[in-house]
Amino acid sequence: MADVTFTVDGKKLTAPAGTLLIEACRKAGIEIPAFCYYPGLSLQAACRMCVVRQEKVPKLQTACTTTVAEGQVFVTESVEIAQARKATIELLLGNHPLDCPVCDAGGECELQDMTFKYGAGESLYAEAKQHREEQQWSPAVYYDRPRCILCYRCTRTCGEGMDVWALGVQNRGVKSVISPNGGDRLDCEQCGMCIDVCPVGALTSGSYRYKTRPWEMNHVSTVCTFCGDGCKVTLGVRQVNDGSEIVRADNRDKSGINGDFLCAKGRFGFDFVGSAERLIKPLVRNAAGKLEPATWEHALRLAGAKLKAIRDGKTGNAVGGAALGVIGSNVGTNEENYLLQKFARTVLQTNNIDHERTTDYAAFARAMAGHPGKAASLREAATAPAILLIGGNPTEEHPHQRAPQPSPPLRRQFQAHQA
Amino acid sequence: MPRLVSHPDEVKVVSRRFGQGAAQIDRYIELGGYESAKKCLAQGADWIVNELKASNLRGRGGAGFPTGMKWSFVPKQSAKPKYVLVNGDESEPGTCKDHLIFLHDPHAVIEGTIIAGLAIGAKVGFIYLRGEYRYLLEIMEKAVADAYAKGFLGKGIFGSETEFQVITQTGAGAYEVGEESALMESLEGKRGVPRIKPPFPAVVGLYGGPTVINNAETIATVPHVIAMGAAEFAAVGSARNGGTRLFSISGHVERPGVYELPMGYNLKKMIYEVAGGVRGGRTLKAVVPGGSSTPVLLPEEIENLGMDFDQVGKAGSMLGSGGVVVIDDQTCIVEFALRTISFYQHESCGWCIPCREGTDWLKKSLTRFHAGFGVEKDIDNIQYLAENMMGRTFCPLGDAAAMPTLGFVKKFRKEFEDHLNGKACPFAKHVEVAVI
Repeated sequence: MADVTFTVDGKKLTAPAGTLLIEACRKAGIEIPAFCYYPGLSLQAACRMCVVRQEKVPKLQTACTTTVAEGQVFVTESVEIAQARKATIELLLGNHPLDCPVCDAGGECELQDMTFKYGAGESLYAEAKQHREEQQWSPAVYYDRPRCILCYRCTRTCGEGMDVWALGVQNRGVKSVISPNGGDRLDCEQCGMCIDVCPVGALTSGSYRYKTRPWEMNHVSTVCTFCGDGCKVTLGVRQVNDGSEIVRADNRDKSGINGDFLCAKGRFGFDFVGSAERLIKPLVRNAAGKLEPATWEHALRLAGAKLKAIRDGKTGNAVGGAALGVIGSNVGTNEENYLLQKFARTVLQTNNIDHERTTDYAAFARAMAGHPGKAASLREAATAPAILLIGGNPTEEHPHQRAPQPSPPLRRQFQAHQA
Repeated sequence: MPRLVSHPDEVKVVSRRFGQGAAQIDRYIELGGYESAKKCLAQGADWIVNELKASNLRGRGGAGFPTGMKWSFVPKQSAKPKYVLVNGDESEPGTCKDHLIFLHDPHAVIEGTIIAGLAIGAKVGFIYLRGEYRYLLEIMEKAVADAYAKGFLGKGIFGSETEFQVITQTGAGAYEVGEESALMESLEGKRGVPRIKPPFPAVVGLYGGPTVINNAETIATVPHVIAMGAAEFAAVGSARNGGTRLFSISGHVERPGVYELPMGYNLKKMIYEVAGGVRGGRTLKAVVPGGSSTPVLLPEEIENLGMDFDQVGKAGSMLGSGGVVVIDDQTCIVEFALRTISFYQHESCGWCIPCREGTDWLKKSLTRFHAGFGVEKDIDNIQYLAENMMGRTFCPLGDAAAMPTLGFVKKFRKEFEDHLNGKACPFAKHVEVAVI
């Protein structure tokens, strides 16, 4: 699309024609508030928070559904707009429990932030709030209905994003609730994406809730070790009496190949880190042949000496490094595997390098040899019109590259956004 | 079943065949039925659209959009099939006109649908009845089956090469699906929530195809426009408001009922002469002119008020669906406001925040207020709530709830104040218990 020029708050902006106003503004550093708008998911225009004034249009317009065209003039902050947003928040807070001090989302809640920004500080209503009991949908997912603001991010991310369609809307009007496919329970792969996209504390995680306040956590970026997809993951790490513990995993800055996506394993599978059975100190075999805990310095020095002895000597028929072999891991990062092979070639002086997928991957690599440009990247897979999959179970083995099921365009759109 | 009423001032166009057994196809034909469709088939699409434009027929659903213009927006060429959609989801409180059409003259709806189909080049028309009209569906379905049997519907209608199919459907009981895009969602088997516009239905409508969606009364009027000729039809009404309108007059009048009167007919005359005046010799307090979503009018505001879209609009209300609700001096306006908002609270689809939450808080506040637990600040709060719903909701349902509320508070503030200080409702017969 050709670029068009339009005016926002007196500033001239340029964007391709047809760009959503909210996106064009965000790119230009003009933040427009929204609950229901979520990049990559279908448009809702339901929360009415992103209302802006467009010149020559009688009513306030939603920036999430307005597309930019040449010469348009918009105002995104004014007394009228601030009042509209404040009134919307006041309406939400009418039924929303003010239990922020004990709410899991307190401190990272979008409704809290908006209330602070637009100053909806006074309660207008004398009547009781509409209270409904919290539900546990699965070991991973809890739903607190009064806190839900019905932004439909969860239903869309589950359906359009994950292609699982386990969440829907039940009832009508003020009685509307998000409803799981199993009636009172959630039958799905428990990826937890719905919890992740929830702007408030309506959907909470069974493994994280009530463990910490968000501001007590440090956020540590790492790469998930469960499969070869290499998703980026941010661990919420909290200080405890005897060190620190991981209390949450997500991808809060939406970077890496996975965007904000994480599968059930990446999101919930970190308890092994603190397992009592986990080997946390190196063991060295003593003279009696029994393994004994040792320091890293001692263990590394010992291993180095032994490797050096093999490399510099003769072992059976093999001379030097040829007597050594290195097996990489397909759940290690590219960087780690690169360093491993470099270590093998330059330090151990061996080309005996392998990994557990030799049987199939080597055959594939041989077949592709001499055909440059035939191997597709993850990003290309996301935009491919069709994918032929032979064997394997993407949901289990490569959750990020789940097999396309019905509705591939939306899934692709989502994954393209992720990529 | 509403009895048929009549008055000498009535100009019977749409209701011409009411009470004459026209639900039977042979009787309908005997009364001149299906001649307009045959004429349209011979004359072609452009002629039909021009005739409708010249007739000044405006949409009877409430917005009053010119029908001919709406039809002309449908693209001539379309990769996707085009559809005609008849909106029979008659749900606006105070309105019961489409009911009579389906009951007495179902073939007029079918004939109008055929003509709309010819005008836009559609091969399929849907007639959608509100869920509560399930018993009328039988009548409608029989009429459709009879029309198929006569060859008026099907592969080649009236012996021509032109195809037109008609499918009937009922809703599941939601006011919201009277909104055109929510109706299309409902018809497609989805949850009845409105769609984002644009695209408008004329471009992307039912199943993604260009769609003309008209109120059932509009569609039933179309064959009469063709039969009378555009000029004669236009001459019946007032400026830019062609023809007649089925006014559903209810409330505190001597002779409530559905009367067909020319557009622009004086509202005062409508109440005092056509409907026999205020019941039991009481005094007129207020009148809701166009269904419960339209702002209330005071007696002094209706003196010279002609009932057409432009004049009622100028008077600060709307002609809406033509449901005239007459309110006498024994009525508590707070209770009336509460009853009105209770409807919209119940019917809000819940899609957007201002309507979902706003209607609920209005209902709660009014319930408590009417029960005598109101404080001065509540009156301002009720007005503040309604003002902040106006124009901010996804679809017009939010406005439909806010508009009348604003009218009641602004025009009857004194009556709200009379409920203060622990005083019970001055008109109280029944007060809903407020939950505090």
